[in-house]
Amino acid sequence: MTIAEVPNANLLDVDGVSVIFPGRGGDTTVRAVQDVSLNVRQGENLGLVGESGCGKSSLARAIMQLPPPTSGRVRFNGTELTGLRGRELRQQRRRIQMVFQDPIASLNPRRRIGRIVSEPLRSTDVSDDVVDNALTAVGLEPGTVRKKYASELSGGQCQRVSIARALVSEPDLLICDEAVSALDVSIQAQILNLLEELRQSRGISLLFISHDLAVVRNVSDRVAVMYLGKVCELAPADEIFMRPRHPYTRLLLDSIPGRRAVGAVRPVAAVSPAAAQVVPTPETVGCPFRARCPRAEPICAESEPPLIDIGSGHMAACHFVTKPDTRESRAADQN
Amino acid sequence: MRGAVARHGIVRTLSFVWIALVILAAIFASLLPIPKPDALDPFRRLLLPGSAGHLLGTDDLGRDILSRLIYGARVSLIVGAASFVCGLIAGGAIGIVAGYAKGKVERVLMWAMDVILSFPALVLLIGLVAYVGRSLFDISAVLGFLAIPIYARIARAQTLSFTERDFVLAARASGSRPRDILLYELLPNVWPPMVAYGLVAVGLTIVVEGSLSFLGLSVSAPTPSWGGMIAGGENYLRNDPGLVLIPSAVMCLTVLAFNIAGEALGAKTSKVGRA
Amino acid sequence: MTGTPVAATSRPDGTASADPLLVVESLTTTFGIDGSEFRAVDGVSFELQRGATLGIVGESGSGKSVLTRSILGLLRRQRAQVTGSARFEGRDLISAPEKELRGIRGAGIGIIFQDPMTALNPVMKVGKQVAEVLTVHKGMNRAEANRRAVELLDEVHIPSARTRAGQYPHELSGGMRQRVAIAAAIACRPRLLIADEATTALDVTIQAEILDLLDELRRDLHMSMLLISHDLGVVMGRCDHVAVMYAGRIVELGRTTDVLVHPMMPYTRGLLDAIPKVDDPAHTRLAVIPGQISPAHVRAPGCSFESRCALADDQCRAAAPELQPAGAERSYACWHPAGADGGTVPVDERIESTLGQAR
Repeated sequence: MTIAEVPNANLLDVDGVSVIFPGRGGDTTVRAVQDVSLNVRQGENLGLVGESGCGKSSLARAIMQLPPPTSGRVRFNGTELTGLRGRELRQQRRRIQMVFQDPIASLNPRRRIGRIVSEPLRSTDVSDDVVDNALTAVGLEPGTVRKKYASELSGGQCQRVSIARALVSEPDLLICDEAVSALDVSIQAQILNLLEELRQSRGISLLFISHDLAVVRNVSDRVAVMYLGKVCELAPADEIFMRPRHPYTRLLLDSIPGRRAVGAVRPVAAVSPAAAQVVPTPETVGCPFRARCPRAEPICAESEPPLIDIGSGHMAACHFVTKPDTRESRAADQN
Repeated sequence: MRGAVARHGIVRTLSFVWIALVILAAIFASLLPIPKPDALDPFRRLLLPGSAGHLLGTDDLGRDILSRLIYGARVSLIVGAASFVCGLIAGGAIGIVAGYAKGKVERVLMWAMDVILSFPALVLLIGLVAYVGRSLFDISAVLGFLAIPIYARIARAQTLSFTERDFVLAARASGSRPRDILLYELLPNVWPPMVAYGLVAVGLTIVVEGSLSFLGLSVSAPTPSWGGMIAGGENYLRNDPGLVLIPSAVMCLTVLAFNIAGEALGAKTSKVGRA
Repeated sequence: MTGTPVAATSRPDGTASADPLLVVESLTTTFGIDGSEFRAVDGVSFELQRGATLGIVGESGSGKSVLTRSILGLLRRQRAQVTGSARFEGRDLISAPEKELRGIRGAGIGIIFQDPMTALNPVMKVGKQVAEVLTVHKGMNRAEANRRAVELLDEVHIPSARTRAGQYPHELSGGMRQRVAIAAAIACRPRLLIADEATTALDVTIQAEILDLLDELRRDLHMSMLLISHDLGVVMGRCDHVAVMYAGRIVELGRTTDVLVHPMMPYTRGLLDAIPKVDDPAHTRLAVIPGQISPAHVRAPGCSFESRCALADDQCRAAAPELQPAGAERSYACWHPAGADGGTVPVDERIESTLGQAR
């Protein structure tokens, strides 16, 4: 069956992907991503949220096979990416493009913008128009910008150039790895609007990675929350923000600066500051969040909760996700 | 302190002027109105600088010092240029490939470089010169070969600092071939600091060649060289120090000029492409 | 500049005090780069009362970090010219000799910077770094300082403080390193605590913890606080007063509730509109401020926000508006403030309700 025959097919299928970095000497293996499965459907934006160390960037690179994941499979538009090498892989890569966090470091400091943007098409025939169109599409003036160097542009402009570079390959999916985190609020808003425009005009789906929940909320149709290499909650955006079920998601929402409401969950104070400081390593058995979780019970240390479906496309990995807890659910309902 | 001096515009300009002067004089030596460097004149020995017909005087065999300096510059410059070009191209290529490929390729290449580097240079030089020969070509080849590992190390270090940067990752993510990445992403960033270092290395090479000449291991007698001139004047230090001091001063100024030029270029290139 | 600083803050009990803790007047910092000069900070004035909190908000290029460093005299080694005055407890810091400033920094004024990894010495144990503040400023002997350092690490809620004191910065997480930096900053019980983007480099959950800690310490130690951030949200629930900076000037100043709910300067309004709200549905188009801040050395006469402002006119291009008062503890710098025609425009009811509950 080709992709065209399957309705609502998945654009991107991530299946049981793990990324493990071997340590040097001793056993300092880093399990950046552990058995993560998710998908991005045609025409939808998936937000990926988590803090540092959760593995979201490693996952993004693994999807791009840069380097390939330690285990698991990645399928893009029906084609298996894992196991591809050389030219085939490069060809597939062109349809998934990536935009990185640091706008200026993403551009070669010694090449002019025009060259940078046309680089992805080096091995194919490309007319100047393609580059000009891409620059215009991101709101830049081709005539002025083509000859400049990255150091002559602002952060926002550099990020637009990165997006233009991604556009020339006519990708179906754009992975944005903290693409607006380094930008000022006013510039961030411009870039977010631009991404939305591109979604509407070119049908480009996004895998949007960020630690900033408000930004993710603005962009995503569905959201996955990661903690220490695992997905702990995955749901449609409305669901996750209004009815978060995993304690970590709740903690994230409460931590959004300026959103402190009365009765907010304060797991750190509830457990002890000591637990909050512990950085649990991904090797530990049981639920990775239990050290900071206000609801932790013995079962949390014994077995890891699986990601289960609790209805309306909402998935969460917590032993108590179906058991109502009076204090937490009341507080959550007040949000 | 030297950095502060180098930054001062006039010093930098003077350095470039001096280098240009030396190079031009060496190239067009035969057109200059100076006596031949090996023209012996036993009746006009050990003349002081400023004597008629001999701007910088004559040496113990009556040969014009200025002329010998200019022809001697050829030796220093050719050897310096050889090591520069050889090191830059061969060393640069090895370093960039090692830095990008990593893994086994890097280990093997850098091991080879380490082997060359760990030989005591002077001993190696003496041995090589004894076997290979002492023509200008031979000396240049030997010093060029010895320069390769140093440039390779620098190239590799520079490459390593760039491979991890986002723009290289972005190029890979866009589907660029490794060859394209080496040529269009890494090379433009790596060669400027290498050239800047190379200029300083030329100065060093000139000193090395000078030492070899002094030891009698460089180009053979009739061909003048700065180190040879210094060696020749050794016995006359007490009464006619000019024989030693003049070539020493010229060598010193030339090396200093290359150092300052290298540093200036380094500062300029790091300002241009700064992320 | 009119010369009279606008009182930014009042005492927590609502009364204005005759002797504010910090009075900054017409502070201007000029850098000379490659022959051209530019003003990173341009005539900034404000007052901070004892026990009050002031948040300074601005994007890149606003000059907020340069402002902090100018007040503390940390730019003296660079080619920066600082004019105006910054009187801390009556003493002007700008004209004070370096020796006197060194006595104040760390003792009277505590400072926490953005990156805890570079703020701490990587080759010195953290306990010793905190102890150092005490030996230098309070003349404690080594043993006494070490003991006190462990107590301070405990005060900032670092678990197993004694063990941690013997560790190096790279053995601690980002949040913990920042706690160490805070411990060092409050060691001598300063009257003023300056947090310059102190939580920007931290994860959002850790950020919340650190801000809570700063709140707690501020109350317990009766300190005033200057909280500098590019993140409006950080300032929202934590500061009584806020100053919004743009292109080196304060463009709006007042109680946080007032400024964020009824902004008068279009830039503030634009900033608030541009922030994505968690309660808005996906794909909401954000109201943007077009263009970007002009590079520092090409500041034309007139309002620096003019090129990006929908309300700009010739008056705005001709002269830069001064900060003028609009009631008690409120001021703005604009020729066409929102509400000048009567009736302020509430920005976001949700922000209002958050602010109401936060205290």
